Amino acid sequence: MAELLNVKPTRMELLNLKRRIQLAKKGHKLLKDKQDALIMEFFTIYDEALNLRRELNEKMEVAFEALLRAQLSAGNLRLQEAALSVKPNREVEIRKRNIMGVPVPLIEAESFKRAAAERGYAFVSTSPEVDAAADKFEEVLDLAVRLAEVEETLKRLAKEIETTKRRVNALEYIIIPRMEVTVKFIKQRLDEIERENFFRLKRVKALIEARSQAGA
Amino acid sequence: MKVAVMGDPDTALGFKLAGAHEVYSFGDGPLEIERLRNKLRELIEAGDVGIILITEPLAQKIEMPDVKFPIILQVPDKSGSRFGEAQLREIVRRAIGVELKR
Repeated sequence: MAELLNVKPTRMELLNLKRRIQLAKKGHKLLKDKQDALIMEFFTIYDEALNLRRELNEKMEVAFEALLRAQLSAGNLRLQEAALSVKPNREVEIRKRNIMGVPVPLIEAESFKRAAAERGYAFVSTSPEVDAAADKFEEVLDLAVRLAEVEETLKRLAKEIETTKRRVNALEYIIIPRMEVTVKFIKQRLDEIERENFFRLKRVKALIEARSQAGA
Repeated sequence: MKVAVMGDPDTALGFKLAGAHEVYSFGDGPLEIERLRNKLRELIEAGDVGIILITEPLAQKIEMPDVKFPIILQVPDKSGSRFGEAQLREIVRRAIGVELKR
């Protein structure tokens, strides 16, 4: 049972409350629509994230195998030397974009894939296996950047859905019922006053009539 | 913006070969964990790092800060992924209230 709001039972308050209930119901409907739309968006992105995640796991496995081969063929020390002389890859650009009023990141990145000559290590001290490993890890990096965008979007949407759900429920189960109960209370109270008044008038009328008969 | 990678020595080596901008490798041990924590904070505050990739085992060892920027993504390491999909599922469970199998 919803508790009553602390208001005086007057006609003014009744009108006020009725207006507020209407507003709350409108808000509730809007929020509910928003929630539905968010959830639909969420599922599309969830599928994408799941697929990318699986792809990343596979690519990562392949990349580590390639790395192992490189370590075997070039030697760990030489591989580390080569890694030190690798030139930094392209940078990424992070922008913002809106999904249903939720700010989500949008990552703009060119592919990290490079030709072996662009990487910057010396060919004399390395082997084709090293090239292959670097190649595979560049692929992983590409994928990771894409996944970063999708997963972050997913997280933010999830957060937004949570808060929206909370608001919808608060309106539906607490705020609106409370106001409705209060409206009912005020109506009953007003009716009560009405009846009291009516009875009082009757009583006064009876008294007056009795007195005028006694006088006559 | 830069891409930073934090992982065990092998992962670090691989990403260094790929040309990630900042790569840090961490071993085991309490001191290393402390170093990891400090480095992560440093990277978050740096401002020019846009994406931080961190291997799952390392991420499990420390509490992940809840920041909007940069984007922190957990990647599997050479032992494969153990938490990636589970984490996605957890997000869904919290948002929708039911678990989904896909």
